[in-house]
Amino acid sequence: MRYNTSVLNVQQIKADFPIFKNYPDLVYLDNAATSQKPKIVIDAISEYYQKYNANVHRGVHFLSDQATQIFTQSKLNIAHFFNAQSEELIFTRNCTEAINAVAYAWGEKNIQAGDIILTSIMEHHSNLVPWQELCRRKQAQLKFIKLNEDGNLNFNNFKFLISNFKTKIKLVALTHVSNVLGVVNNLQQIVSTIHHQSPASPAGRSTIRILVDGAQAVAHLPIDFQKLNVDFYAFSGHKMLGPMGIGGLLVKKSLLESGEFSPWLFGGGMIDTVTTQNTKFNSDLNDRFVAGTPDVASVYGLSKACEYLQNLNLENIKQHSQNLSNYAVEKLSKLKNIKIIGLPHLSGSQASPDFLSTSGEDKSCRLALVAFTHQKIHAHDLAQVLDSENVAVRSGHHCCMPLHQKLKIPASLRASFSVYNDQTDIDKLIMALGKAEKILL
Amino acid sequence: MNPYPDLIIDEAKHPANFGQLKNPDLKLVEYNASCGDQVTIELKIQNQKIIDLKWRGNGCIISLAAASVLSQKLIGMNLAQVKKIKAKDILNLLGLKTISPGRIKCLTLALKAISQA
Repeated sequence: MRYNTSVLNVQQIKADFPIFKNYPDLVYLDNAATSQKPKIVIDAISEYYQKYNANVHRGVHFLSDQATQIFTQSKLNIAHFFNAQSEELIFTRNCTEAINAVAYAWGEKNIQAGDIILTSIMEHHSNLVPWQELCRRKQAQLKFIKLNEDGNLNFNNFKFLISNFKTKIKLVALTHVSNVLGVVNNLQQIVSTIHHQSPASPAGRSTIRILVDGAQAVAHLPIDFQKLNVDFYAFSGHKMLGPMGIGGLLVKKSLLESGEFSPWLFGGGMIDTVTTQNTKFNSDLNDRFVAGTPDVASVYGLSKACEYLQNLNLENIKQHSQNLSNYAVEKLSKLKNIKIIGLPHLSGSQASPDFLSTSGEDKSCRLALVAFTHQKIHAHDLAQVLDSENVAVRSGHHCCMPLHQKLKIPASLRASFSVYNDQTDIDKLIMALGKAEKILL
Repeated sequence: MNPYPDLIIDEAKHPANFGQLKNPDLKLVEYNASCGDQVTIELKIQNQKIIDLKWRGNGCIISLAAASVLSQKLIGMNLAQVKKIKAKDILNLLGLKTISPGRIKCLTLALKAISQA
């Protein structure tokens, strides 16, 4: 099958990433773990410390003013990247911290004994363990939506659970794109089902809150926070060409204004007035959730990453990501000993055209990555030989132990893609797999 | 560069002392949850000395090769001496100078099992 290979100019893009000048033979296929950084992101961090560094909001001197402007403008840019308002963006260290923030800032007050949090078996530990702990603290229950054979959410099971437990379910926590299966959950359908079924509060709003783990999505899909209509959307900067140590939580403004989501970190910056016994929190929503000095350099870097992605056009990036995933699936399916996770095992050389076709934005499709096992070689051994051929992939359970237990797979290999990968990279992966078989079998 | 010297592949493909004992004195199991490697070691002990050993396991080449070379060293050893074996000893037995940090758990799986004795 032919895929449109000219959506992105990969050679030109690759030249923007200094790591590939240092390692010209590197075939980096571990982007789901972390992405490489373009020069403008790296330079922004250095530039900040050379030209703009001071603490924000705390002084009236020139540099403080510069730092504050950089911070404010960067925050606005990042929020707009997600079509969110600036107040709706709360910075965290990463996606994991963003999800934990919801557990503390929202969960502690809004989850009671007997309540249900609904999630799925495909979740990353970061969107599972915080809910296990919250349920333990609150004597609430964690329930799991089943999956189909192809790895997609079993929608009938989902509808059944929502319909039968709607008075007890308070939160649905799901991933947008699975970091093992590569499936894209149909958020429009999920949100509409929940809102349709959910009992309305006195104010007429749905009482079931929706949290989305966007860690794998944000580098591959345009994200429109207003259109998605979820309550919480978490992401990491380092998976979307941004620096490590910065990520964010998008929170629906109404939840911030009502106080349903309230500060969970306290201290300087997030206050209006402080006495010995009492504190009034900052009335400005932009500042209420910034306790202590923020990582302005990383926020600036992340803003540049958003700019870089926007210049490539997120629709093109999505197409590119789908093309690479489809190509990888096609090539891997032809290898006798390889079993792809999230697809039925394909014995022929052609996969079903329907399955591989790129569907519309709101339909389930695969993008971003392919995870697989080898019938005769352990994932770690494969990864080791691939490394000796300069092909970087991940092996293990990818922080999805329940999913691997369910599939009865101890460990898998995962190749994940970005804007600087192309079909040649996948061809090199295939060749390296062949070499591994020659050495190890 | 071949990351797996022939010695290691041979040990993993034809592991020494692989199997089960009849009426072992001690049965030790260790499991690496992060990758699914597991090993079971069965021992016959007399006067605090390992007089016979068999092991079974499935996992990556490093864990199998390490278990194989370790098993050959353990037979005839005092339990007190067993406690002194370190990861670098296993590296030496495998003819490796070093191993990536991500594979240390594979290398030391059998060692961790025998340390329970």
